[in-house]
Amino acid sequence: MTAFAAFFRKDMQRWLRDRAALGAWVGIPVFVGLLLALVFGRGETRPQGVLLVADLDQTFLSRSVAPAFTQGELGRSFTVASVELDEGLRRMRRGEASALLVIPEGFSDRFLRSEPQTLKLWTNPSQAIMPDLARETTAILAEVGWYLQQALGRELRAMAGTGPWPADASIAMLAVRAAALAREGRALLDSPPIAIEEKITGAKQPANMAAAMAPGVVFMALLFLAFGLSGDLWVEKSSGTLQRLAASPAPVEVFLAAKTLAAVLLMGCVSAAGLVLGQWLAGGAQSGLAAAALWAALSGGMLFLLMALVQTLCRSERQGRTLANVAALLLMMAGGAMFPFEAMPAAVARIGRLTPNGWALAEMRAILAGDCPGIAWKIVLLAAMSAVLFAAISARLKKGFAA
Amino acid sequence: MILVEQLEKSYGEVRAVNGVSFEVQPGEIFGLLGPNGAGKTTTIHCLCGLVSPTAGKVRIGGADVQRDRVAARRQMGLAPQELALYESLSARENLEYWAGVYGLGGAQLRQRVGEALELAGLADRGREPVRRFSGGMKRRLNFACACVHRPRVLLLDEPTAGVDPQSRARLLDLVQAQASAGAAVVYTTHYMEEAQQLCHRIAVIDHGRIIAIGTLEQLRSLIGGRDVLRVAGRMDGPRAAEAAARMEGVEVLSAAEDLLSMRVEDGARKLEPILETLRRSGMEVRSVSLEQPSLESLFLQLTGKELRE
Repeated sequence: MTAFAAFFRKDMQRWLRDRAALGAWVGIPVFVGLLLALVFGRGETRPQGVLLVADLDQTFLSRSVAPAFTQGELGRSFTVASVELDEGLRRMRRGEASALLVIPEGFSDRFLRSEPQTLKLWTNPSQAIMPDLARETTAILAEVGWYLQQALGRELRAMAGTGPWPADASIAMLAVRAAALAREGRALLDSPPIAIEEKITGAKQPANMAAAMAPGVVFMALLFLAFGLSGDLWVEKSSGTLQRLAASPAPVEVFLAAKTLAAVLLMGCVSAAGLVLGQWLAGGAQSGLAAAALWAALSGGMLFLLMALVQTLCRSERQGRTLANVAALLLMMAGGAMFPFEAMPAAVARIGRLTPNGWALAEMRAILAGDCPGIAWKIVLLAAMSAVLFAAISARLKKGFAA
Repeated sequence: MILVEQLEKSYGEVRAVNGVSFEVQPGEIFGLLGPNGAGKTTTIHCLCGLVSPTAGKVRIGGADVQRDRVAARRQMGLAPQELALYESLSARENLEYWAGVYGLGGAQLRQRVGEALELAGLADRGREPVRRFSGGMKRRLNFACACVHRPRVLLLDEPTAGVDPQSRARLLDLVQAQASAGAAVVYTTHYMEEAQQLCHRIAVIDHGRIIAIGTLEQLRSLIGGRDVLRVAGRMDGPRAAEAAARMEGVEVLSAAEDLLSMRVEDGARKLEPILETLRRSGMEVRSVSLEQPSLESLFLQLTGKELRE
């Protein structure tokens, strides 16, 4: 057995047996990922709102308003519930709905007489998208209603005069009139001879929030691992094994190389598992998964060396662990592992992308999106960064840390 | 096998090792005896190249430790003061690791690991994680890890620290077995009994300087065959020393408020007159100890203080 093989085997045996530590390093990010999956769900998600409709008029026309919110694409965004006014107001106060639309008494009469009237819409200030959507839809409905009244007012009045539900003859008359209108207005209604070509610039982003955060969660796991595994140098120092090693003929560079390789292997497995989980959350296949896992593993090796340098430059284990912990947390926060760059202020995101893990994370997302020009040079850059860190740690191990 | 010449190591103003020189032959156990902080561990660290000496030379099997590190280190086995073991690995895995570090592999590795387990008396516990071992078992394994590659030079830094008497006796047997097999052993300790029992030659070290070196007999002869008498009680140091020194054949080694140490010719016969003199001088004697010449008394004679102070 070569010394390298002995070092590598020893580290893998020890790290894989320390299930509590391994569980914590991998478990925390996985827990965060699963939490996101629970919150946002799997696959493509869209905001879902609850629209309450309190119909005080209770006529054929007023009852036609609520179904307008459940047509086509709108129907996938809104759940419409008819409520009494009091209940609607109570549910709004509890924040249980996006909006409450109140159709006043006498709505049909005023509509058919073309008299002005007001629809009341309560919106929920704690929600971002759905109240706006309800407001816009109501405005459109009001406009469409006016045109409808202008074009088909006579037929609608005839229908309204036949009781709570229109007679078959009234419906037939309305249909005939609507068809005639459509024929007359076809020239105006046909689409203009201008085609729109849609172009999407930039990388395609996963539609799912949890999937969008998966690369960041992978890097969070890598930083946890880098912090935890680099602390092993202090364990070896305090137990005396590092000192005994320094008195052996095996060079410390070989010891460090084997430890780094073991860390890279472990991080590669964790990254691959994290990315597969992310793909599952996205509800579809992403390209470049293997390449992304490889990139993450190499980046993890660099982060391990960075943390190891921080730890070995300190004078005591407590100091080393504290400083490395702070560094890891800062890198997580700034480097897009905790919060996506898109959610950060532009200036902070710019700085975050310049951190080693932020840069590596951005590159991994590009690999996943199949948009990674010059990847060979980036691997060379990553290797160069790792080599500089490796040389610095080796020098530190030789000059005092190991003895 | 081991040659140390005018070894010096300074940390700023502090001179941890000061002009230490000695030689150790194959099959010899050489003891470095001294109190904590005397410079024993620093000397061992200089020997195995963990620390670069400020001055002087160390050669292991003809190889300069500083210039030809790998050749020197290949011949060495170090058992450091700390238990340099991996607690989550088994005894066998620890031994396999250290054997691998020294380049052993295949059948040779398996054979040596098996032998080392036998040597340490851990053959039946080889697959258990080390964290389940007692302190004595860990010490024996720590020693076995230093021997697994059959080094020609063994550097043992207080290998019996903190173990029970039974385990200590077993460890001393193991060290003797290695020396009998031809290894040159440097053994540091502050236990006088261990040094007396185990070492062929002993260097007494204090403040980084060797103050006496030789076989046990040679060192005893330095004391001149006189006994060491210690009288404890309420002593007025200077007055007690003055009273004792007036007696023939009595040499005061140290005098404190509660302890008077003397070197006495034929101590058993002179004991009663000395105590009578002290009582007449107003001293209150509470306990008395009379020792045959030993390394402890030599240390006391050379430094004026106890070995374990």
